[in-house]
Amino acid sequence: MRWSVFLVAALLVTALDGSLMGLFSVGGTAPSLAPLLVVFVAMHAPRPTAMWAGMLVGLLADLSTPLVDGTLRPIHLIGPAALGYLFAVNLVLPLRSMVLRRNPLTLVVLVALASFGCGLVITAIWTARSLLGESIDPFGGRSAAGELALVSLRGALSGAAALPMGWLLMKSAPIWGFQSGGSRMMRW
Amino acid sequence: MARSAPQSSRWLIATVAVLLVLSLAPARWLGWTSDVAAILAMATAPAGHLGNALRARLRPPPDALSEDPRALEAALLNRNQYRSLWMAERLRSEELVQQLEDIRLAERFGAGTLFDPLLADIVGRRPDALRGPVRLNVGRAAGVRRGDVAVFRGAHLLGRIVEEPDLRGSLLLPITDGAHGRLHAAVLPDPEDADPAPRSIALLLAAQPDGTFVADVDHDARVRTGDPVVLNDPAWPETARGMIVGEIESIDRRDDQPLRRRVRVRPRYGLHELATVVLKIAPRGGGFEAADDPAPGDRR
Repeated sequence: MRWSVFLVAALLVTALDGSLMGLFSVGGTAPSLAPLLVVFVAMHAPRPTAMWAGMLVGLLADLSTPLVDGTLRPIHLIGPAALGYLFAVNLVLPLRSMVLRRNPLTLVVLVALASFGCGLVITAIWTARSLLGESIDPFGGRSAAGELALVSLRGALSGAAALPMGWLLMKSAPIWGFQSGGSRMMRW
Repeated sequence: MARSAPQSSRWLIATVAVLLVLSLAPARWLGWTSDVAAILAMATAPAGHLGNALRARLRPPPDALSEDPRALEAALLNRNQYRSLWMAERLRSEELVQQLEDIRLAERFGAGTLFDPLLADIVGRRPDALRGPVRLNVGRAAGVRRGDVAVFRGAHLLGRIVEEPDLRGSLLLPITDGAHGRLHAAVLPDPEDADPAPRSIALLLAAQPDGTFVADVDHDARVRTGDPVVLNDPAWPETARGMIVGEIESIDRRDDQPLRRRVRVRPRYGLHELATVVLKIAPRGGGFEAADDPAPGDRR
């Protein structure tokens, strides 16, 4: 995989997630393109590459997610999304040899699954932090269960967004330089 | 020219361990991450700006004007500015009558609340949810300081700058964020024949997860659905006083306290729906006494 192409795509996805995707918000959350990028790479790149890529996308998500603590000091917590997307990649990797890659719904389902898996890890880490007496409220006043409901909705929205955006991503497949070649590519 | 990723699983395990430690590290150890985030924001700002512009074009703010937009918009701005000044003056007058002002506040009256408006674009939001602070594309170089307030349409208060801004960026925390704590606000009933000089009704607003505020009032308080609620909080800069926090959306009885009613206030504009905001910064030539204003969070 060409890391330069991936880095540009990751920065673009991070920027769009924080701006344009809010246009499609439903119920207090918006779809995300980051799980789509992670799943796309996990479907085609070698296992270690996919895991590093997942962590990098998560790192960018962590760094673009400011929170404030009890003294109104902004905090960018590095780790939750990075570990979340690593977990998401590990959800997708065992499935990639079993799924029908030519079916567009495959990407939709895997993106929803990856988004939910990532959200699950993020929620778990923040819940663990709350046990340490942190004054940061990452869930905006919701309980962890309420946040999980939001995570599920976000997963469904991200899956829906994967249908058109995944098509665009697949069209760009030749420039990614995946070593597996055309035989492993999805063709819509 | 395909490049291989680092193959060593030991590196991967070590990275995961570091991420785990960072995930659970106390917040006071993580101040440096904001600097890293600021560097990332520079890389993503152009694309974010385009995304925001496209978003604003596809879904304009709720009350986009359809007829003669420029004239109507200018009239609305004027009306909102003068209304906010009027409300601010009413609040000041009440305080004078009650003789509760201290010398410092009296000095402020003399100085007025001069400010320079500064247009700022929102270039970054949380990707996972419509809450939390947003990143603006103006910072110290443009005169932005910690505690400056942001408004929309002249008089609608949106939030406040938290932390000392970067050279060319700053973080704006929405007014609906619970981290601000409870907000002192007021409803100013319109004068009527029976009561030509009605008193303001104080509200102590508590932010809710759904982006609204709630407050309790006496059951006989003259509040009505649709009444504007304005900020009257000494912990906020003087430039925020009299700015509209929102409108009363509903008034419900409290079964547990029959003599009280619960008022729900909804902001007219959500910060996460907007592409640009106006910051009220200290005048370039002089300055309002921002240094005297309590810093965000000092009340807590």
